[in-house]
Amino acid sequence: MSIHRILAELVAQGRLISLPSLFTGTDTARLLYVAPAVFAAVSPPFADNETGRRLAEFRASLDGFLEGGEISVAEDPRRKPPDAMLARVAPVEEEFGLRVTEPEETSGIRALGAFVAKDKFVCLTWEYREGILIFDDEVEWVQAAWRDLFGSRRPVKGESLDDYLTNYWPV
Amino acid sequence: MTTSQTTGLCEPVGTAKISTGTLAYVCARHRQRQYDLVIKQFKKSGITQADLARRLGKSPEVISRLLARPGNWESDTFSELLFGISGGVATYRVDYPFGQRTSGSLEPLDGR
Repeated sequence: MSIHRILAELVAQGRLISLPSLFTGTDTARLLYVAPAVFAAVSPPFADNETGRRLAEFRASLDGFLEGGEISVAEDPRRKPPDAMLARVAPVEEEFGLRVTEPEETSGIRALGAFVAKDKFVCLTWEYREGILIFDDEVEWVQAAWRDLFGSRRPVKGESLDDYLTNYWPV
Repeated sequence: MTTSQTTGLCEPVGTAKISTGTLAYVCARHRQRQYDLVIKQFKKSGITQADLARRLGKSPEVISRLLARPGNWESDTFSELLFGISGGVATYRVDYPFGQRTSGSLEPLDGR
């Protein structure tokens, strides 16, 4: 079974959710499939407190991705600028981390996942950055979650960033 | 305060306080829009970050940091970046996600 067929079944089963943009709905330039826990976190209304601000920033990042916004990407997880919006994670396999670094006074949010196709990202986990004690554990968890959902089907492993994204800005 | 069926965001009504979460979303969205504009112009321009740094009298490190993500730029920084890259200036329009007016309609600056 193709990875796209598996994806469609996972969506039908509710194990992944096709995230719409809050502004443009399903009319988006890119596609994002998120785990139910991610969907719950980024679904409004956003609370009138610090948590609400942080989760709203997270959702805005995802909507920016969906709507085809320019995304700064770091390929080297060991030498990434602190401002990169998307970065490969170590150990370098196929996983990427979406990096939310606003509000500035917080340590932000990290969401991990991988691409099923160009401009099609599956986001499996999220965590406040300060809650990630050992990043490698988080990566291993995501790899296990991927295997649980997709079996032996691997994410996209491209030669260059062009194989993953349009509208990117290497940093 | 009512909630839009479309966006799930809370529409500003009367004097009810808008949640900081909703405001954060709207501000982050605007930052992304500004960033898109600047990066697209920069890619189109063919100039280097070093060129832009020289044009604006800033260090290459500052330019690199500004272009690295949608930051909370001062209005003047946004203007300088756009103009410095391409000689361009931003134009504006207002979208209404709650649908009370035509989405994407252009409004004159004097509000008529």
